[in-house]
Amino acid sequence: MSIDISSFRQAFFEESAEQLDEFESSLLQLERDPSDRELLNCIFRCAHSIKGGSATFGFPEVASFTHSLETLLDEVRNSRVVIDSTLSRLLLESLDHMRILISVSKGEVESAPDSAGLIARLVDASKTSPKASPVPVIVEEQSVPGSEELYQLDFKPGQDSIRRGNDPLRMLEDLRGIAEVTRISCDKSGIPPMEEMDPEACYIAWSLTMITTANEAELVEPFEFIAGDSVVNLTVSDGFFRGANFATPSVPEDDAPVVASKRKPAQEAATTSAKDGGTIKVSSEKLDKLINLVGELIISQSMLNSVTEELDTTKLVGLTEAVSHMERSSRELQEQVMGLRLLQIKMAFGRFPRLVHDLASVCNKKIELRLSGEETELDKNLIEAIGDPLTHLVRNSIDHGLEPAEERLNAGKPGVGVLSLSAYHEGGSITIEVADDGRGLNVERILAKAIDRGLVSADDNLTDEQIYQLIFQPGFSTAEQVTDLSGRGVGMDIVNQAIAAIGGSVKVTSVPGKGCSTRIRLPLTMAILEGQSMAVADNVYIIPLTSIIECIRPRQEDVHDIAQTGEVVRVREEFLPVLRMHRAFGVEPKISEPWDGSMVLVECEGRKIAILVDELLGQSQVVIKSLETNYQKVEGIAGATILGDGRVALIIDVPGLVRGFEGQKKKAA
Amino acid sequence: METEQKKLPEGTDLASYTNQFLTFTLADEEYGVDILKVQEIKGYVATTRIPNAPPHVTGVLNLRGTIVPIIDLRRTFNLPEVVYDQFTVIVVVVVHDRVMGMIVDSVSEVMNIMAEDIQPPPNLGKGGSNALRGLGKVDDKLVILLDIDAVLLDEASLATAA
Repeated sequence: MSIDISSFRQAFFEESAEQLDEFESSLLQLERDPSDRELLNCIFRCAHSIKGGSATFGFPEVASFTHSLETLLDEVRNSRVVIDSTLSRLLLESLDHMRILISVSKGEVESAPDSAGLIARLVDASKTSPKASPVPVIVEEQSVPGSEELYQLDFKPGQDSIRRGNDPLRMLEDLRGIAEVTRISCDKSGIPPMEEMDPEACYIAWSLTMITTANEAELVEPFEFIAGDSVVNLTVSDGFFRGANFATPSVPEDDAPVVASKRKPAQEAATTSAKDGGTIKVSSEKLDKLINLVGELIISQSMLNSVTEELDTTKLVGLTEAVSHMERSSRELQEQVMGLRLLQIKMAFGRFPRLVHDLASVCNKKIELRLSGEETELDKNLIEAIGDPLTHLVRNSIDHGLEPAEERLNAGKPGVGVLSLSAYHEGGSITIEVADDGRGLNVERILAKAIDRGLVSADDNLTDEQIYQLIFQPGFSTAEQVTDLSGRGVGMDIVNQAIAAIGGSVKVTSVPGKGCSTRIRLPLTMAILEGQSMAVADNVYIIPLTSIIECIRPRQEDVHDIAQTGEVVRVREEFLPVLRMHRAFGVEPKISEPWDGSMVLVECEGRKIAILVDELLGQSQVVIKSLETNYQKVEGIAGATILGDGRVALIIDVPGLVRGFEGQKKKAA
Repeated sequence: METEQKKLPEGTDLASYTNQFLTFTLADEEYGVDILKVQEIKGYVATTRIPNAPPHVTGVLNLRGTIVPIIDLRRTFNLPEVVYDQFTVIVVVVVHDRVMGMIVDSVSEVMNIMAEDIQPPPNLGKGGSNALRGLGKVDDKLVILLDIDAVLLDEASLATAA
């Protein structure tokens, strides 16, 4: 029987990536708060799991390197080595090294860098304390006189263990490799009478006494993968009891030879590490199917709604009740299922503590990073998509915004600059803000540059607000010298494009000398949108609410046809171009004059346009369906949805529609 | 698959082809498509027009939550248009993982046509014969067997060009 190990390896890679991220964030936190033992335990657990996994899946380089790292961490945990900036830099370096080693194992990177130098430094660091024990470099424990302890282990494999391929005997053999077993007894009392016995079940339990220098974690390691109903009790039997916290010094117990500690260490480690943002891995494909299904439910729901509206509801109280109940539960279900795709924004923010830490030292600036609203949830696609734009913004703030310490002190500000990343709900959307308390945007310089680049002309009377938005124009950069970090003049342009691509918008505000803040507004999800339905001819179209400014009924005297410009409508003090939807889509309208219909004012890429439709219908949440799956992309159409009566309604892609409209106007002119 | 079908006119081994066909009528002629391509048959319902689509694409339809483009085969084959009636049927087919509907006058039956009863398409010059898979003889009737992939994918590429 051959088992395809590659899928397990994939899981290992994913898990180790998570472990490494956790390692990193804990380490950076530990730098600030060296007394937090839980952080240290967390780091240790990460290293330990990676070591275990890499050995199991056949990556000896990773395993042996992680082993030396783990040894050092163990010394730190036992307070034999003190964590300082040199050490934490070494640990960060090792972390990067592990990342490289793992990507080598994945086959992403060709050659592995030599680990020997770093291992030697790790070993060195673990030796700095006089009490430290000689540390083996390769995975092979040696007993060290003096730190030996007597352990008592009760091991009762679950009945299913053998069926699941966990051979208890092999685990005991493994244990013999790291500990000297002085006594072993087998408890056969669990064996049932012959006629009731299942030959594949495991009924036996063992208890053994052993002397070893290995620590608890190492002793329970052989049992790590055993089935959940197994019992592994490890106790220090020489009158000492080690508490749940590995690092807590042993507390003497009065004459208590054996204190049963009920925990199952391997499993506990798993739960603790999962308690923060505990994740379940579900394939995106399954999720998407589930989301589609719920979309269906919503559709059948609205069908039911439209049916009941036409019925004599006074006689059908039961039905209406049922429908309203279904409405509640289907909404709830929808929210739950949509929630599956949501991840905490922590996933996107996670990379910044390290990034800021590194960039600050490169730029020689003192920066404090403040994160808030990390638990705000956002669609997984969006989380992935905002990573790069956020990095751009953070780099920009560090490079251009925040000043060096002397400059800050001269300006009467604290020497340490503050860079804050925050996320919060605002209306139906999520706002992510990147703010710094640096020098702010330089209005004159931006304007001068923009005029220089021909983006605006010198006599355009622009407000500061308008000038700030110029930095989002392609090819704009004010950095006087191109640095490693930014200044290639593509940053803000790319940020703008990337955010627009996922249906969001970017705005920058700035106060000279006080700082600059960039706000990114994002929709909650990309699978459902709030839309305004409208009728044109026999068709129903839907415009996303996010694009709409307002809806009006034009008066005859406000509509003008200007030669060579086209139709315009006056809305208060503004004249807006009119786009007749029926013309754009080539259908026969039901109205003959614009003032018989309604106009939807939309904003797109900074311009306002009035879209003429026959009639406005209601607002509703619609499930977005793809036209491309079975057909193809259609200019001006973002997708389709299904109405309460089962008909298909097209969802308008406002920017696309406007582009097509302007293209036609240009052709006509 | 396409290359296999191109070999057909040269009289290659026809026995390896499936020989069950769904037949339907279009302007009094009997047509057949490979039954394995057919997903389902449904009565005609009004479609939602797609802006700027080519004329033979009448619109899209909601097929249990999937948006499916609908093609009028009469328009595709430049046949005179008729008013859709209660016999008008949409044959839903799957070509290259795409679900599409074809509007036909009516469906007839599922037929077994032996490979030896299928003649390679006549050489009509360059005019559209690649949409034909062959001509089937059943008793005295003639069934025009369509290569539905070629018909619809040609249309799809046409639509892209439009």
